[in-house]
Amino acid sequence: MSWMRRYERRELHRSRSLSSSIALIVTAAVLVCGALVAILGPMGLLPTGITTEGVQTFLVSSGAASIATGAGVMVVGLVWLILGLARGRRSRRALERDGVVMIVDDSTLASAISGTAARAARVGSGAASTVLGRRKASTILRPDAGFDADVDAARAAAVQTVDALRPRRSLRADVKAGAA
Amino acid sequence: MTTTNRGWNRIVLVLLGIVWLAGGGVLVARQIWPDQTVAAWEAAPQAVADGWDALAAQLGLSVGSLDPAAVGGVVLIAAAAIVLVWAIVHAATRGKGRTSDAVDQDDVVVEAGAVEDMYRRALGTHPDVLHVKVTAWQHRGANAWRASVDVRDHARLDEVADRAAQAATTTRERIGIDAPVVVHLTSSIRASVAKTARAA
Repeated sequence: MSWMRRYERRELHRSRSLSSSIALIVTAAVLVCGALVAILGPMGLLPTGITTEGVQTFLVSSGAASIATGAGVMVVGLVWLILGLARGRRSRRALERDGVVMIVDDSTLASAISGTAARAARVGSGAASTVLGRRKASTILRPDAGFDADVDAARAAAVQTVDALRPRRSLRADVKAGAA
Repeated sequence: MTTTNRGWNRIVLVLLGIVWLAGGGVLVARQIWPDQTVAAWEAAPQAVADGWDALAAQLGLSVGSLDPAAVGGVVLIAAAAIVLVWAIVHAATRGKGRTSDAVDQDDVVVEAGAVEDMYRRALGTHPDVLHVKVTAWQHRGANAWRASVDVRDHARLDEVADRAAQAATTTRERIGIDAPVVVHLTSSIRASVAKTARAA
């Protein structure tokens, strides 16, 4: 169904509504300031200290200050260009379920994998921590001193949980014992 | 879930990025290669005025010629007005689409709250689910629902995912419309303050 792909894509990527609005408003503000200087300057209505010539001199013929201004403007432009062209993925991923779009936050998924691994290894849930990569979930078990972690059982449980979750993009679970 | 045109957001950002890069580039170029840039800078208004004259002559209009010295100011003011209106319209039209009605079909209106209750009932009680919130959205006249399911830290997520998907199908069948449903499994601040329900 096409709506599923559409909603999934929209949930997995950020919208850039805020950044594009800010970019437009900042551009409008700069242009309006320029237009005000151009209109009010000849009429002599500008506040003391600001003159049309002064603004022009600052922008076009004051050496280092003009270069710094130009470089600053270029950096702002570059940031917007990158925001517009970058993939803009959110830290979420999609699960395969019939008839609905199922989205899970990466932090929730990582916490769930840690929980399963810790339960299977018979250690406290605080002893497991999971780092989610794009295709790999690596869990590290750090049990309290004097307790043993059953790493094999934890690994089997983590793999089983990830399989049962059915992520749309394949995810490999791995569990290791870390130095405490 | 909003109706915001995201392609348009990207186009705006790319366009403004290029304009600002070019503007900054001109300012820097004037300092580094003053002679060439200044020549081009001074020639531009004259070229615009000449172009205007040529266009008027072509169309046979007697609208008078432009003053090259005023071209820069006119362009600046026009650009400011256009971008100001554009910015206001753009910012005001982002993020629309949320409604309070989950169903609005053939004179039948079902509020989002009713669907939320139904979804919660269909989901039943699961120790790892802390909270359920259903919001209703409208896109091109069609209803869509978004169910946000708050889960506990270290939840048994596969069970929750299966039940949440099943509950969405059940709710849709009971209400009797084929609305798109997005289920979002998340852990909010609720998860950090919730008491542990079972031994880990």
